[in-house]
Amino acid sequence: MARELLLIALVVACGRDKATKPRAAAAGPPLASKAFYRVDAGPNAPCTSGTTCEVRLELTALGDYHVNKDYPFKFVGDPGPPPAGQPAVQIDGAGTFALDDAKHGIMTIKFRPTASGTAKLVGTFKLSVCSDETCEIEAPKLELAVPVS
Amino acid sequence: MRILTSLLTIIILVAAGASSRADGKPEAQSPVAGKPAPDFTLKDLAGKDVKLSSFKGKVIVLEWFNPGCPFVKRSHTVGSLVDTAKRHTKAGVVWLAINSGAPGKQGNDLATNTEAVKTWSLTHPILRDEAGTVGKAYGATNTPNMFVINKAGTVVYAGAIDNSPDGEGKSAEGGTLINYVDAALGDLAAGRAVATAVTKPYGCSVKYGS
Repeated sequence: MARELLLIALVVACGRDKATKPRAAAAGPPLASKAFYRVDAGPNAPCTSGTTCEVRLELTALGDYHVNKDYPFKFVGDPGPPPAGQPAVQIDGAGTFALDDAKHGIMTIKFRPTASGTAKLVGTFKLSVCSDETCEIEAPKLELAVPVS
Repeated sequence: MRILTSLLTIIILVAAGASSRADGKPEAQSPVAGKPAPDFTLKDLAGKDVKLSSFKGKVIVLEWFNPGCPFVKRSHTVGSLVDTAKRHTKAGVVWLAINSGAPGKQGNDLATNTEAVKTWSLTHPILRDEAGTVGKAYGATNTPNMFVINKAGTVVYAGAIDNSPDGEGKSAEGGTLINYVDAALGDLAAGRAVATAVTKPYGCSVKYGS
C-alpha cells in the first residue's frame, strides 16, 4: 500500500513539473504570450505545394491558470492577399483544438499552399484560460512562416 | 498487479457514474430544474430588499452576474444578453441579476456593479448574494448562468444563455445561434412546455467564498 501511494505521489510530482512548460521544444520566443499563457509553434510535418498541410500551435496556460476546456478555440485566418512573392494559402475552417491536459492544448490548422516557397499564415487565435479567480479571453494575431516544397 | 486492479476499479466506477448523451458529451444537470424555485430575499445595489416570492404569478428570469467576468462582458456588449432583459421586461417578465461573488472576489464590489449598470444600460435590479447561499441553492456554477421560473413558481429552464460558449454569439454549436432564454420564454408565452429545460452553462466560475 505504501509503495502504491509513493508511486502515485511520484506520478503527480512528475505531472506538476511538466505543467508549466510548453510541450514543444520551443527554442525561440513564443508566438504570443502574456503572464497567464503562451503560444508556441508546434512540430510540423513537411509541407508540399498543392497538398493539404498542417501547422500546430501549442497553447500553454501559465502560473495558476488552466486551459478553459469549454471555450470554442478558433484560428480565424486573415482574408488579405499574401505578401508579394509568397505563395497564397487557403486555410480550411477554424482549426481543431485538442486538450492535452489541464495546462496544454494543441490547435491544428489545415491549409493548402498553391506554390512552393515560404507560406505565411496570418490570423487570430481565439483562446481562453482560467484560474480560480478569473478567466481571460485572448485573441492574439499570429503570423506563421511555413516552408513549402 | 494490485495497482492495475485498483486502477481498473476506479475506471469502472467512474464510467458507471457518468451519464452521457448520444454525442458523448455529459448530460447537463441542474438541482432545481422542474422544482419549485427556492425563495430568497436579497438587497439590490441601493440596499433595498427584493423578495422573489413577491413576484408570485409572474414569469421570472434569474441571471447570475459578475461584471468582471469576460464572458459576462462579452454577453452584455456583443452577445446574447444585449438588450435581452429590456425586451422581456417590456413584455411583463421580471428579470433579476444576482451576484454571488464573495467580498474581495472579482466583480463583487459595489462600484464595479454600479458602473456595469451604467455602461450596459441595465434597467433590471442587480442583487447581492455575498454569502452565496442563493447561488448554491440554485446550483449556479457560472456567470452567466440563467434560470427561468414560470408563473406557478417552478424552474422551467436552467443553464447557458445560448449555445455559443465564446459569449459573443459567434461560435454557435451546430451553426445556428440559439438564445435558450428567448426560446424558454417563447414556449411559456405560447402555452407550451419548455422544449430545452436544462443546458450546461459556460463562462467564469461563480466566485463563491469558502
